[in-house]
Amino acid sequence: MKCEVIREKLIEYYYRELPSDTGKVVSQHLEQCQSCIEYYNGLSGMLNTLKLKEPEMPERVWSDLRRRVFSRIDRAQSKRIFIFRPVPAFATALLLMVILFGGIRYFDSKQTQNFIAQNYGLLQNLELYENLELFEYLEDIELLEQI
Amino acid sequence: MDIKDESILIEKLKDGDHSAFHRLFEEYKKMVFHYAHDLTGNFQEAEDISQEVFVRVYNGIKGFRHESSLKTWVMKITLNLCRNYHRRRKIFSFLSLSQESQEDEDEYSFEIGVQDDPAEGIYQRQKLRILRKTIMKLPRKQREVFVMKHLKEMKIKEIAEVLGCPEGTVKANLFKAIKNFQTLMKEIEQ
Repeated sequence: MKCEVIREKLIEYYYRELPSDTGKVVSQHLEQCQSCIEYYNGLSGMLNTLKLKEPEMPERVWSDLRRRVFSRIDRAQSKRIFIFRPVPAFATALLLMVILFGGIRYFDSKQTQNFIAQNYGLLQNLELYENLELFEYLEDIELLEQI
Repeated sequence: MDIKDESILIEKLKDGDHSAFHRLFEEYKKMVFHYAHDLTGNFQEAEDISQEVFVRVYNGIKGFRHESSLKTWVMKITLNLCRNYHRRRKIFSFLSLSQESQEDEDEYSFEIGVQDDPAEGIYQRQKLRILRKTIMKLPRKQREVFVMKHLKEMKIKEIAEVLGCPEGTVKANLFKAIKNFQTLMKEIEQ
């Protein structure tokens, strides 16, 4: 392989990501080629200096993060308990409907009772009034006959 | 965590097992936080992003379809949230709402190595600061690949899965990132 091709593979070689056969070819080339080994030493030297141990974080960072995450999850869960349980939700809706329609019917019947109580006298004479209406009709008929 | 352990953990998570979620948090908290910190350069943002990552993992685990490993999936969520952060920052700087640099001064880095060797601690702190400054100067795609490869030591295949791109693209971006890094390091040293 030419030096140019080898140099393109040196990053993968450094990270040991080359297939074993290609890796062997690169190793053999580096043993023989002075300019490529110098190039590789420069590259690996720089990458080695950039290696950093992940800094040890103070425990308070993790405990704070843990507290924030789990309090959000707990909040979300308590909301979900109320929203996503179909049976209690259906039962609650049914109960509300029963209360609503029951209330309407109760209010209706109460109003009818009140109406009857207020107009009791009038209702008792209803038959009389109906008869009076009949007289009105008779008067109309008489008028028609006169014409 | 091996594949068997991971699939057991996922099943438990899907069943809403709270202790399984504690385990997931302990397993991935460092990875998520450091990755977010490396990509944003901001301690506070890294904390907020890490919090959001775990909440999203918890809410989305039922939809996890085993198309990738759990680690890759968690990394993908972290990466997307970091991208959102950069988008937001770009808009803010465009609107001149925030002119000062958002990178922090490594609040916690003061604790690195100080206990054992103060001189080594100072050296590590300085190195970390230069490294972080240089990382933030890389173009976004190169920065993402470099952090995953060099600092998180992920395989190229895994990085390609997280980024949703071919392995060749990852290699090309890594190559460019290291080339840029060499140039930027020289500029900083001067």
